Amino acid sequence: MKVILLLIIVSLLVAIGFLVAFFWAVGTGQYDDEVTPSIRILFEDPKASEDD
Amino acid sequence: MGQPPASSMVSSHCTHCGDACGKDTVTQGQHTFCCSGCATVYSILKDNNLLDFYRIDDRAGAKQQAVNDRDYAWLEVPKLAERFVRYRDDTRCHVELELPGIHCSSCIWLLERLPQLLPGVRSCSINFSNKLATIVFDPRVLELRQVAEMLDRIGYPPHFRVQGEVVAGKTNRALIYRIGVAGFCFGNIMLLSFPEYFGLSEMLAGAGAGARWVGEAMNYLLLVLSLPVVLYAGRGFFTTAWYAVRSRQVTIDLPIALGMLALFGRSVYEIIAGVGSGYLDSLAGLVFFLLIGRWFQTYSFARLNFDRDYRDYFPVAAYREAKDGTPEPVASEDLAAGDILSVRPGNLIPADGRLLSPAAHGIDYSFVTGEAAPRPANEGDEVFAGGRATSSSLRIAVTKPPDQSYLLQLWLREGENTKRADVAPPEWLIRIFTATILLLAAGTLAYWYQTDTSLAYRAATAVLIIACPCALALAAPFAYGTLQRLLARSGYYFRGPAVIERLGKTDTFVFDKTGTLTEEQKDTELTFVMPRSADYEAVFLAMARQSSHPRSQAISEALASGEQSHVHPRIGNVTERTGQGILLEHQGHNFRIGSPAFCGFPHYQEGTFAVVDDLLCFSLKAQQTVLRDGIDEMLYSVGESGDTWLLSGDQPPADPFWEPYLAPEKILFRQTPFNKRSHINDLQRRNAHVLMVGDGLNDAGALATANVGLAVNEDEARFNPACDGIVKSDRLTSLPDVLLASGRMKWVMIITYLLAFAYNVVGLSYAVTGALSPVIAAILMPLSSVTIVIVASLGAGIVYQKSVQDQANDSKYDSLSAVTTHQ
Repeated sequence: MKVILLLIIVSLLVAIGFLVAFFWAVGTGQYDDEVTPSIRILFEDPKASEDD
Repeated sequence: MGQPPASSMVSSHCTHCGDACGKDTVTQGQHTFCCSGCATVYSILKDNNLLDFYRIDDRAGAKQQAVNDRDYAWLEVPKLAERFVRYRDDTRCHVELELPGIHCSSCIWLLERLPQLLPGVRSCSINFSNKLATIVFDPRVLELRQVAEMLDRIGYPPHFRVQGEVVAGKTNRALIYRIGVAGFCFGNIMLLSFPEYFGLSEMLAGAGAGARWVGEAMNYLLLVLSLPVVLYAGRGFFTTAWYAVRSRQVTIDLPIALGMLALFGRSVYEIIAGVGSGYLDSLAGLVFFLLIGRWFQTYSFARLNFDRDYRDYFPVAAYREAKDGTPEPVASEDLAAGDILSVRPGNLIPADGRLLSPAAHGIDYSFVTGEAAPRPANEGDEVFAGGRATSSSLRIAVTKPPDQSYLLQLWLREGENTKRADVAPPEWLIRIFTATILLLAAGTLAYWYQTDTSLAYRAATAVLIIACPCALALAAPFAYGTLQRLLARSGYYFRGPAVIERLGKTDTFVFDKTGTLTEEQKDTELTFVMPRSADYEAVFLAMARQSSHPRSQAISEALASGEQSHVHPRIGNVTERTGQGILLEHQGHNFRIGSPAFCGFPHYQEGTFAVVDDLLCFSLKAQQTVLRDGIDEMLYSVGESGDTWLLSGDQPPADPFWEPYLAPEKILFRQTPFNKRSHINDLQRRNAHVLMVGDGLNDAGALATANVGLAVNEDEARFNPACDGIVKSDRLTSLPDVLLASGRMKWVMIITYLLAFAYNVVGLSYAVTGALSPVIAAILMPLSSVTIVIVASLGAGIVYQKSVQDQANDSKYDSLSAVTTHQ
């Protein structure tokens, strides 16, 4: 029965890992702008060859 | 690659912006441009292989404004440039600039390729919703001035604010962190409480010492998990409740803090005494839901700034004449009495002063006073900060430093913004609620104390726990917050849910006239009197082009558009008579454009005439002020629902358009900005709840003083004075619907409060008997919160649907970008 405590603690550690990831995501400003990245991703990369 | 879209190849349309090409057509190869500004942008892009700009978005090119009126020389003054620098070391310099010209995905594409256009720029990243560019450049190669000039040349002139700081659109990260922690703890505590819910802990307790030890350890784990909730996530509720107690006020945070204390204290006692596992799941859930309610309330519209202050209107720098007479840039706030300034055409006068040279076409005070026509000013006249130099440069001797200017008095007097920002249940309700709960808890304690002391404490704390006004606190933010978001679809942007709550109580409506209800009719049709002569008209056109007076420009536009083949006669310089007109001697004829009196027709009162040797050629009608479309109906239906006033800074016009809608004693003309504000103060003293609808700086005091100040704007992202809400001018017609919707919200609130009350009665019936088990609390508390949130939001949605019919939403993309959330 005591093993359940170990399991709970391990699962909590995993969960804390996700919490830290959430803090990191907020802290690096990933939620500051939700519009521009969705537009930016649609731009094509500059082509190597040039016409015109 | 690189061919502009086919539609813009048609020679009469500008390759860059797609507008029809008029008088200033510039031709480069097979491309035509409507002005030299557009041609410049095109050639810069062409030289840098960036013509894809025109392919990404159809709306890519925007018409360029007059090129020469912006000047960035002042950015070379380190003290001024430093305000916009976020970070700097030897090799890199981070600046954050506001670029109001950003309007489509092509803009992002082009601006993020700034390093290609300007060597020395390391990176440029755009925040589309806030129209901000974060630019990193190498200070060894570049200066901020060159960056600003390049942005200007490609059509994105930066807007520099005096404070430097861009406040709008910043995310409240602290609140997000708190929600994260509360959510994490709530989920885990709930999960670890499941054994308790199903009675497993009792089973464990009966299963021997070893198993009981497991149960106790789990309880302590719950306690550890609840510590961040109380000490970090929910700390704000304790501090605000403590402030409220100290200032002898009752706010909703007081009963919340009381409930949290009861929850936590009771749980700690149970766990340490080993009699149970407490109510920590309810506690964490409570904090989590309350924080979400707070987050919902802080929603605002990115790129709309409701907190402009006078400094946003003024240039960051002014040009002061040095001892040798050359103008040097200096920070506006460093101006002192006695300085000699030179103010370029189109720029604002930064400080009160005396004019040293006559102003050719007067000074445009429309922003300050609401008067449409420029006011003539001669040498020695007093000029006020906020006026705009119209066509010629002005020399001004400063008499007062900017922070003592006349205009500033509007902001510095009483009536500073004391309006409440948060929505909460009415104070009387919180008072009754808190008093009832405390009495009930005391009563329960007294009732059980004689029979069973431990039951008495359990029942009393249970009363405090279950009565915690989580549902009560969530109702208003979600109801009004939902309506706030919905109204944005109809073009009404309010700064917060609290504004809509106040709007529902307004019973007196005050309107500004110029720019709010009326607009200038742009009528450039000329009336020709004698048989048309192409030769004369060509001379008049050439004359009109030499003058920058708005009337001359209207004439030159009308003449240029009516005539396809242009003759360009060589004419000498026109003589300009301030306030009268322009004249020219050409091939023995006397040409005049100007006021009727100037042209020899003194019996006419208005209009602009053009004469050759006293023969009238054509005339241009006086500019008409007309009501905006649909405003008459709006005034009529607003007038039905309350006391309606009209305050105007103008002279009474000849045409009394308001007669059918307003009582004559409720229309006041010649109102200074101070009159307007004190009028609203008077109305409020008579217990009126005032809605002020206005535009421009002249209404700023009135907008701030009124219970709700609604600023009318052509484009919601443009300058507006400090206000509670912004409405696009073409949507003002649905104001009666918006008023109706906000008024009806009262019923939604009554229903949700009744529901919260019903939940409390059920919960309290368990609590007073001491039968409140943690399971019941853990079910009842989140359930009540969620029901309240759903009912409040649905109610607001129904109210919106029933009240605001006009949901025309022509450009979904634009409105989406306007209402992007930030917290």
